[in-house]
Amino acid sequence: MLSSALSRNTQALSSGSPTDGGVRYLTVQDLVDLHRAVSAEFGGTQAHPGVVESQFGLINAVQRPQVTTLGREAYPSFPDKVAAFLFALLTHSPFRGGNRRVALASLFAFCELNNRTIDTRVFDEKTAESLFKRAASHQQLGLAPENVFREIREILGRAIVNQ
Amino acid sequence: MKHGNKKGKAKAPSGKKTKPAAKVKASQGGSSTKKVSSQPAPVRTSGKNDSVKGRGNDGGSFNNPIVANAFKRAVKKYPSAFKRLTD
Repeated sequence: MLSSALSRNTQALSSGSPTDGGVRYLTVQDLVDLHRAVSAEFGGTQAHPGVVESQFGLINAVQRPQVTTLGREAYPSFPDKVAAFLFALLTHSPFRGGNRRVALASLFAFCELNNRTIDTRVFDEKTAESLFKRAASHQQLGLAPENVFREIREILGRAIVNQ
Repeated sequence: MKHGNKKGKAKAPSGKKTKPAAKVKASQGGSSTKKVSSQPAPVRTSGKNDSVKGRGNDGGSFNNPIVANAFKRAVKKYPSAFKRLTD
């Protein structure tokens, strides 16, 4: 049941079609493309463009914003969905290197897919850097995951604006 | 039985005929290996060119043009964050 549901969702995601509520989600292929581009641009000689270490983590991150509980969306608003996606991506680290960079690039891609943009005055470079580092290594830092998620959600709620 | 043997013999020579042909081809290939050794080089260079194309044309390697544009904008807006964020 679970595997068939996963494959069905993966097929639906790979098509890149708008899903419930008109929200467009990033696909696995989009993230792999972003990882290739990020690795080529910033990875240096030790980059592994497009190398996926954890397929489970990658699919989990892609599907996280679409999760429903008891027939209701677990993350109803768009900033909720983006925060859930980013937190899953940073926690699972599905790629071999460059996961935080892919997360930053995919934040922009997710927003642009849905005709939204990031207000750089609210979400500046230092904020992005510190937030992503904390989210990626919250276990080592002893931070509660719900607190980190709430922080991402709060900042993105102010930073994401309509185009 | 004799017919069977004849048939068997008839088949065998055909196999033998093909083997020498293969040997001849191999020998020809062996003679041309020196020439072919120059042929793999372009194949390798084409592979390098492909990887270079993949790295150089970041927009071309994307399946979704919106994602490609978003990546370009993100790099423009957050250049130092991309450099500092390391795994």
